Amino acid sequence: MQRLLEIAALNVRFATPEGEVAAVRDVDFGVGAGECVGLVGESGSGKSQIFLAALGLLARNGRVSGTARFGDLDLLTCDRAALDRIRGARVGMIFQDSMTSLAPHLKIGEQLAEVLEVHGGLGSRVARSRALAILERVHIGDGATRLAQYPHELSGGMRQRVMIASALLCDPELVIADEPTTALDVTIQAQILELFRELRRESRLSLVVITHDIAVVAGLCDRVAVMYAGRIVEEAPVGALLRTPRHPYTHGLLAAVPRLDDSTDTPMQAVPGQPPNPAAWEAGCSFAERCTRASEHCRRERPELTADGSGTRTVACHHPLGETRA
Amino acid sequence: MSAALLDVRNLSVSYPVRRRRLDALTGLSFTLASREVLGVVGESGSGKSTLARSVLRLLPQIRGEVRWRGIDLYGLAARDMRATRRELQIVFQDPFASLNPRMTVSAIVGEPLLVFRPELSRANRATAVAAMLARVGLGADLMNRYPHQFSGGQCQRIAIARAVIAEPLLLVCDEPLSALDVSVQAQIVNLLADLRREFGMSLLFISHNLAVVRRFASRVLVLYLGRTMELADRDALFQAPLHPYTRALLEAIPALDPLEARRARAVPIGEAASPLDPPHGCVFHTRCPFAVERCRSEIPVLESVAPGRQVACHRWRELPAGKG
Repeated sequence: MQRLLEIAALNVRFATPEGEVAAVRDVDFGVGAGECVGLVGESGSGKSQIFLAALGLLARNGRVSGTARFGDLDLLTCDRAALDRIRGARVGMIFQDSMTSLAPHLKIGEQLAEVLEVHGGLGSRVARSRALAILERVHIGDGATRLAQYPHELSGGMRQRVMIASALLCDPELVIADEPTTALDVTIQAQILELFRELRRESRLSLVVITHDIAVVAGLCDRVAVMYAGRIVEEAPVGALLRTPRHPYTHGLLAAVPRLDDSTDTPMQAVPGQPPNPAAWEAGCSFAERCTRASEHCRRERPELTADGSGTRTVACHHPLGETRA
Repeated sequence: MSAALLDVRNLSVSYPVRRRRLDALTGLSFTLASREVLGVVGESGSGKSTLARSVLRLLPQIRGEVRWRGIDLYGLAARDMRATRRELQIVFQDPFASLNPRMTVSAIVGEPLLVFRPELSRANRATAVAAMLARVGLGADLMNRYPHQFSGGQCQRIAIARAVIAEPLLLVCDEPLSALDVSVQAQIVNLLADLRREFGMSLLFISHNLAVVRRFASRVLVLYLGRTMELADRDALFQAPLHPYTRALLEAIPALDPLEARRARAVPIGEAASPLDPPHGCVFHTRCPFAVERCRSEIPVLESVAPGRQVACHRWRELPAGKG
């Protein structure tokens, strides 16, 4: 069955004064209809660049190769007009920082109406009633008042709900949420995650959640891909990934999250070293220098992403962890 | 009773905002003993960072008292304050913003020695800086580099080295992990825990993350809109939170266990009210699932409910036991 979005052999490079830097390397990534996939990685891992590249939003010095099939279209080769019909309409996007993503000089009503007028060809009366309906759907009360307010008059959590509303306006087939809760307080994060769960239940929304925080995807996603140094190093159904991580990096990420029930007498299990510098990625496994399981083999030869016996998960590691987590 | 290192009495701080008064902190009282770690938690706008600034005398004025080793900190003459600053150091949230981009790492970490130990020779200072950098995990070969050449985690190590080299008695940590990648956060947690023991420091550890605070703190202060909601020993607080706000903060932590993560949660209601326009009565009542008429009209007093434990809630006795 063809998936809604199928990214294959994606590479993203940036020309910099220090030479060319590879941000995304040989990434295959798909999202099925109604599926929610998490993409987890640290800063610089390339997780955001995948979708900026697919939607033609790369910085000027970026170059992309590969394919990104959405329906019967390759987003990387289709013309600008076709891309414009997709962005904001068939694919909605939600970014981390609602303060910079919303235009500060436009009232909420104007921002939402603009989306509908551009993509839906709706008149302003219809657009307004649609905007009111969508605000209700993301649980913003007193919508009529909100439509007349400017972004700075809303709280951070409220603005993030407006961002979500804006992404949902045209009934997109796919929503990409890039760090949608990172700038929020933990209580507001819990509310926004609950909103996403509710939206998924209501409408079989296809959703990609990009985050540095593996705990964010735990309660929301069906499947999770973990990125390190521009590559996907492990992909699995969320339960399997959390319970039995195979890649030592995934294991390290999970162990590094402080929990309410862990012992406070022993030090935390930290991943040693620093996230790699994209300009200095080398041969072999990019994680080898921080990995306690690394061998000479790992430093020489890069492990390919390969499926395990179950056929539901893949890992790129010469020495993956076993069935049960220590 | 042993004298407290830090004794905060009825501390209130206000800022003028567009001809109005923003009450950032209202009537805070607590003590911190030598080598003790007090965790401070709350959402943005709860007054956590104002508290950090208050106890370091980084604010022009406060109401109430901050007593440091028995002396009123805000009554100290400038000269005495300068000497006292060595004992009070801070690590900020954003390591890039808190390091001077034009100074080398060795200059940054050596600066406190220039100020507080001017008698040291240049060679001795260099030795001390190298030893401190080694202690936080940075090699001598990095000493002449500039902050932009380091990752976030390394910059935070530099900021920690700069604070600890003064050999403070109190280290204030204001969200020291928030700007760091997850895999690096645990390293910094372990480093701070080790340094605290080695140097016998007290910590005022400010964080929005209760799970991190649990690792450090022996006591925890829960703030909401500048007021104390609950103050308790760590184990008591985490095993049986009394205040509805403490419970909400605990409930909001996303679970990593796949089943637990999908459990429907009693998500806290709404968002923090504006500190410019705090609710009447209990400031938390607009978000509290247990609020009754009394909570809307009457400010709850901070009540001592057990040794070392205080809670400001009209209804804490009647509420069903919190999650353990």
